[in-house]
Amino acid sequence: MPDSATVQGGVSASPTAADAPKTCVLTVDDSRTMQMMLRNTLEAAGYEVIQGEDGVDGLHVLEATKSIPSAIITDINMPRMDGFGFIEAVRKDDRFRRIPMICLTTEVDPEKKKRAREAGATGWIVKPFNPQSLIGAIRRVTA
Amino acid sequence: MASVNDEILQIFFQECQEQLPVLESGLSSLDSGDYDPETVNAVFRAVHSIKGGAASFGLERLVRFAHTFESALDCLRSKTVEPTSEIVRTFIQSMDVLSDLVSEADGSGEHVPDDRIANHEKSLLSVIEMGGGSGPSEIGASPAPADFTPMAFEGFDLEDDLELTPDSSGLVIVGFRPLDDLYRRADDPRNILSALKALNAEDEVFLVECDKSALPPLADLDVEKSYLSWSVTLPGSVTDEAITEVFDWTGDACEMTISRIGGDGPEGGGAPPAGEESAATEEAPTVQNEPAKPAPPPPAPASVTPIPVREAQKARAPRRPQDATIRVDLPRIDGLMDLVGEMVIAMSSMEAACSMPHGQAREDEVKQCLGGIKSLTRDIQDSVMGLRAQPVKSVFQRMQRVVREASQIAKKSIILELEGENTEVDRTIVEQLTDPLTHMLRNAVDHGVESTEKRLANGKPKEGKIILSAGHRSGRIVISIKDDGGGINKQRVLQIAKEKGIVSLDAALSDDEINELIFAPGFSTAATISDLSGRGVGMDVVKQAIQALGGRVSIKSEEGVGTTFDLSLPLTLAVMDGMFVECRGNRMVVPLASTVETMKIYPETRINRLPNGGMAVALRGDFLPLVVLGDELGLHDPAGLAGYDLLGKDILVVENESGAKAAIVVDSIHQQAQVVIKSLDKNYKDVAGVSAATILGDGSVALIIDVPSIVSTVTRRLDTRSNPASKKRAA
Amino acid sequence: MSELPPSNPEQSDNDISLNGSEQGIILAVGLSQYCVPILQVSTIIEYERPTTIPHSPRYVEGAINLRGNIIPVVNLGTYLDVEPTPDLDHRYVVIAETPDPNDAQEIIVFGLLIDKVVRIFDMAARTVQPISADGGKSDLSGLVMLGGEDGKSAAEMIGVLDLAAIAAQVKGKPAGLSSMEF
Repeated sequence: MPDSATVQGGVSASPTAADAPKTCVLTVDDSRTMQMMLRNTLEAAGYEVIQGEDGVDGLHVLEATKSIPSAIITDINMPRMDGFGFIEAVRKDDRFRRIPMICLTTEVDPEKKKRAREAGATGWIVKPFNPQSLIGAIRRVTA
Repeated sequence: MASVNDEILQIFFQECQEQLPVLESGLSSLDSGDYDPETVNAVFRAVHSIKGGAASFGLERLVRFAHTFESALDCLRSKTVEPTSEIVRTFIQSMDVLSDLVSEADGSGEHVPDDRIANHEKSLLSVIEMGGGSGPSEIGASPAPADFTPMAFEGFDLEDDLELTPDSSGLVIVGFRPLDDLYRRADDPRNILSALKALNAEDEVFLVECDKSALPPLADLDVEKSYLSWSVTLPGSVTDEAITEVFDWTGDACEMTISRIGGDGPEGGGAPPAGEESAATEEAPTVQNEPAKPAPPPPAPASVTPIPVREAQKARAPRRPQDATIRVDLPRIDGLMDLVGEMVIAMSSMEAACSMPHGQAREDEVKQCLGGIKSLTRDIQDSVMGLRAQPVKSVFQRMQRVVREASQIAKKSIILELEGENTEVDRTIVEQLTDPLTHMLRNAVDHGVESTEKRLANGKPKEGKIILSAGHRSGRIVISIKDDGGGINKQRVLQIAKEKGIVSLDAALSDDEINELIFAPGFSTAATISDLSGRGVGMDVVKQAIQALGGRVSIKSEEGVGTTFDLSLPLTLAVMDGMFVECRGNRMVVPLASTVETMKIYPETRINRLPNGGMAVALRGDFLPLVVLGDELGLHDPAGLAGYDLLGKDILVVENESGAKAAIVVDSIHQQAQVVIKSLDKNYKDVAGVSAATILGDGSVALIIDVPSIVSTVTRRLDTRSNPASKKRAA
Repeated sequence: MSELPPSNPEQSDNDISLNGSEQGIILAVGLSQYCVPILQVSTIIEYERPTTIPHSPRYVEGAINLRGNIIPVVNLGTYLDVEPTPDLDHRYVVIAETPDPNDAQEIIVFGLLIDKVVRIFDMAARTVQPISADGGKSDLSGLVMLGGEDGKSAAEMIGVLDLAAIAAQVKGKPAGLSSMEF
């Protein structure tokens, strides 16, 4: 298994390790309810959370942040720039295209999954998420 | 943790209150023929976002309906249905149901009857069906409420029961080969491996082999390409389903095979075929969204009078504290910051000025600095007030529904036009405008606009029109409700007022005064108590509500052309410009906005005493009713009651919203200043002639005079001979 | 307008319980004494002439500013028809808080003008007797027996003021003629 790790290079700060710097996660969602839930869940699991309120804002936040996030969670339906657009934009930027991106969707139909994959999403979580599956998904891509 | 959840729930309800107006305005523009895709998207997003949040809190009834609604809107978005007026109507009605379901959920509204939900769900489903083949499957493709797991911050008891069946022997080998696309999506075989490893919870068997045979020589190696494939051996107890789920994310970016060695295969019977990622989500819910089977709980007694139950619920429902937070646009805060910055600079110039040697130069400098600080203070104050300002839009848009429903009941065809929705008012006022506006609009639908037959007979367009507008007018906000109906029938109003003993039989009233009668308690011109306005509340309640906000109502009406109600409201409840006056040893404040001019009483000032005890003063050929403020307020003259000498006293000429003037006599007039308005009735009661209080520089309290109420009392006293108050004065 | 600590140095009542929840304050107007539960008192301030409120009952002295809020001051002597001690240099206002009789969610704050605060005592240790339905005055919510335990002073009965009832009077119906009258 180590072979693969060298191929991709690895981010490997365990979020729970007390001495390690916190792993940063960017969440992009236009719903404040969702944002609060994400923040609560992620912070409780030891992650540092930065947030953007839509695709455009997400890009601004990404641009401005000092700590490049280890993963991005994004909603799909958002004003100004939707999740697909946001993912595509991130993937186009050499600095960020290696960041795993997870979509939050209310329901997953094959068509949506396909679009998300095409846009460059690493994976998805179905809303309403439970903390376990959210953290599981983040661990999977940041382990 | 529960409180955190509660807090988020409050945010969710707050967001719903923001999304519903977006929905409302979007559907309104669709209704008026604007099919901008962005509008459709905004509408879709609003419902989507309500659904998403509701699902997180397990608000199943809301989720269910929002889901059906969303699916129907999706047909619009994907252009499989056209926004015909019929479909838009369906959406608008569904929006009302959705809004009621939100109120039901937050405890501010009644339980929405199941059959009502079912009816609208049915209409939505027919829209979905119209959208073609994608209809039923589209809606089925997503989890129905039964599948939703309400989010809980504690209690991780989910998901644990599907994977391992310990007694199952054998092994399962998962082979996979990532394709280039996997890397493009920032995924990594490592992630897949760690997810597979997580399946092996008991740490029984976990063998990983990597096939490096496809690796090119280093020189030819493209880091963006995939050359490796893996084979992972897991215990046989791991189900195909669980493995497939791991590869759900990777889709066709990763080839995958599952093979089993020995044992009986996984338990739990027929695992779905590998690779069919969508199978799991596509099945179950189809049936559950049939409208014919509404969600059973809670069992509402079908025909047993449910009203008392509902009322009890309503009574018990906790009053949701109106969100104590406000959202402020960043530029406003920035503007305030700038001003504060300038203030700091101004203060240091002031300090510098103060340290100058005594003399004229220093005095001038200090004066100049002081002037600067004064204007900055004012700007900062305005700026802070601006933070509290909110567009009336949210309330205005709610009125669309009011008019829609009211005109349906009244069987009239009426459109509501909104103007100036972006006009900003103090948020307290915005919040408290809903009830009075609702009532006035219902009234306009019910009594203002004529019946269709009558309109046609009078050569008017069939469709009635009500314009609800907001705008600034001389430091106040004026909200107008204008209908193109038949106007107020003055003869009838006067006749009813006489019949009901509101005015004396021989009263001769001006047109304006007749119009004003509509606001008299117990007055209702409707011959029958209709469904709409006749709910035991009259326009007097509206007037009271507006007055409680520091506002005034006035009416303009032209027979056959229409009626306009103007609500004039203060921009902010917190601060106003006032004129300090002295009245029998009391310092009081008269609002500058209602003061027209001031004058002194000289020996040559013409004051006429009227037979009924009233007084009038001549001002440029007009006679204005004159009132001594101290008398009006029942304050005793410290110098004794023997003859209050008007000579040398000051007069304030004031006017109310409808322009009626009066002269108020005070002992003396002092400076003007801004005063902070403090409620007097919070701990006390309403006091006639006093609207509020303020706190002076020395910490003492000064009362603010309610000019309009004094003007109308005085005017009425002069005009209405039968008024007992005037008799008493005459005696 | 200086705030006084609610206790008074000339008293020492050693049965004051620590939690304070069951303490009462004894107030004096003229020769009469009354008590109020300490939980309903937010502070006690020195009396200054308040601003007259028009169309108010005689017992309403006026309105004062208490930390930015306008609150009415009730002259307890006038209210209960008790003669106050004449020519006092300093008098005090007990600031009482009680639920709004018209809306239980709201709290009404009002002041009670008194001659002086006598002392604080432990109400929990005594029995508050309800007032008999026929003879009782509605301004009192009960009677409490004081003194006598130490053998030095005679036992006396003190009335517990019904602050909610006073609030209901103060808040009551609008003062004067309603501006809505037609």
